[in-house]
Amino acid sequence: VVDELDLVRQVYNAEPISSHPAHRQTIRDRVLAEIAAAKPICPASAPGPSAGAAPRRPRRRRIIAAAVVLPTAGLLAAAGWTLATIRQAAQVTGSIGCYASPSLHSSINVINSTGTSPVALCAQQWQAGTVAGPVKVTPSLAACVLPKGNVIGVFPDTTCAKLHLQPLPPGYASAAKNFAAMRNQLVSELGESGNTTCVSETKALSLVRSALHTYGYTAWKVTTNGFGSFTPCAGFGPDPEHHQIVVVGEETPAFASAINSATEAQRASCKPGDPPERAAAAETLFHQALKTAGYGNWTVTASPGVTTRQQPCYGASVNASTHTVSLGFSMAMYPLP
Amino acid sequence: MTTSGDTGLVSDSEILAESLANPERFSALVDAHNDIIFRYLARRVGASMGEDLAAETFLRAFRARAGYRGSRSSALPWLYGIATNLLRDHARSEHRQTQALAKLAGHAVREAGSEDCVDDALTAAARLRHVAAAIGALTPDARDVLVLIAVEGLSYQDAAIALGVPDGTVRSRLSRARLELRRSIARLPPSEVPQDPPAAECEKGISRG
Repeated sequence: VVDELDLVRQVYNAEPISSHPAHRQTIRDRVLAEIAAAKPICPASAPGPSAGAAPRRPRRRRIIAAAVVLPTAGLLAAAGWTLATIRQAAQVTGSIGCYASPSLHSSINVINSTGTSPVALCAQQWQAGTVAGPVKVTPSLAACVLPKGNVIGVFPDTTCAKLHLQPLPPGYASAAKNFAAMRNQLVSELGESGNTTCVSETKALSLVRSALHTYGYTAWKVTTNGFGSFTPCAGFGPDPEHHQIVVVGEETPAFASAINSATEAQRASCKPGDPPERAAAAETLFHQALKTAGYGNWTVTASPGVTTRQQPCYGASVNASTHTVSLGFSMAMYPLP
Repeated sequence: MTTSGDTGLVSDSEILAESLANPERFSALVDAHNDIIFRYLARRVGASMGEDLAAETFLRAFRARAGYRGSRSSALPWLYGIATNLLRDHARSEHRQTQALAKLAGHAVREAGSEDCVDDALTAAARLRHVAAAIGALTPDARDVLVLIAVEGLSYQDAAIALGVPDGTVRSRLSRARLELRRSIARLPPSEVPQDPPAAECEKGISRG
């Protein structure tokens, strides 16, 4: 009886492959050289055109993301952040991290607070399978304040005490509702999904100041970032930790629509398991969308080495100063597990 | 799979998560899987190219770490997947390596056979040369499955993760690959097909190759 698999093993083991220390070191050195030059992944540090390579997402998602990126940075303990351990109710109202296991190191799904119970919100995410994949029964959940920030973490099958975390502060529920109401008002005024209007920087500052006053956030400040000729339209991101709302400059709806439509078209035809996206096809798709929107003079370049069978899709990054759209890896292209 | 992928006290997924904020943490993943990924690639394209591709595998993994969705503790199937995709752009190197293996397989078996078993050893050598050629003639998909499961020892599930296909596809590809190899062996010239199973002591010698 011939065992084909045994024969295959014999063929491939005919030449003993020894992992010589020199091989190991060469590989290690080359990888670590790039790692040493890398910056922490912290999308909040790069809003507007100055970011250059910030991954593009549909507008509605970007605004939501803007509302969570700063707290997310705290969740990830990103370098450069010195977060005070302040646990006042008004400061833990922005984002909620639904953790997949009773550990600060487990994977998380970060969501916006809507003013309702964090446990209830994360339970919905568990039921939807967006925290730890499909589950038959949602585990018992505990909402705690994370140690280095003002973000709430909701953990399965544990207690805050076991994780050495503080429970939610008194008055959290009413503070969260108030904060969510202010955020909703700003979304309605500055727009969120499928915007066809463009709110100017001046108008946005006025609207944000008014909303802060209305909802009692009188000590909060407003900062702006990233406005320019290419990014004249306002988006916003609340930053409860620093008591501020960041108003950021974004592209015109026409440009955003072109990028978003090309991104969505690609997303619709590209899923894990597919062959890696072809660079030329992706470039054509995005270039055509930009041309239709009146940005035909822009350059689109795709990195040929960044897609894999597991993650075969490209995401787009915009560099306004060079009029270039770069296509590369983007986690925004993939649904949560 | 014999390697759990755990790199000591923390799992690969924890390392990947931590490496988002602290990129240098990724080096722990490199240290944990460097040997395995290098050997896999070296078997398929030779040591020199294997070194280049192993480094490239980890660099791609590093750039893509934010999108890692593995719920399992080991990132090894994911790394195998990246490495396997890289091989697609180096078909010529892989072809050369398979040809080299075909020659080496014959030598190894002949050296392993004792004097008493020389006929069996020669037959086995011819058979391995034939198998090596047949492996080279397989489609890349079939070869990937074959190597990942037969040589690297991945489970069907891990191979499915590596290749980004359902378990069932892995099974069917493996089945087709085995069938192809069996047919290829059946086409061996009669003089190279053993009429009887080799003696136990000869079989032992052959398997050392």
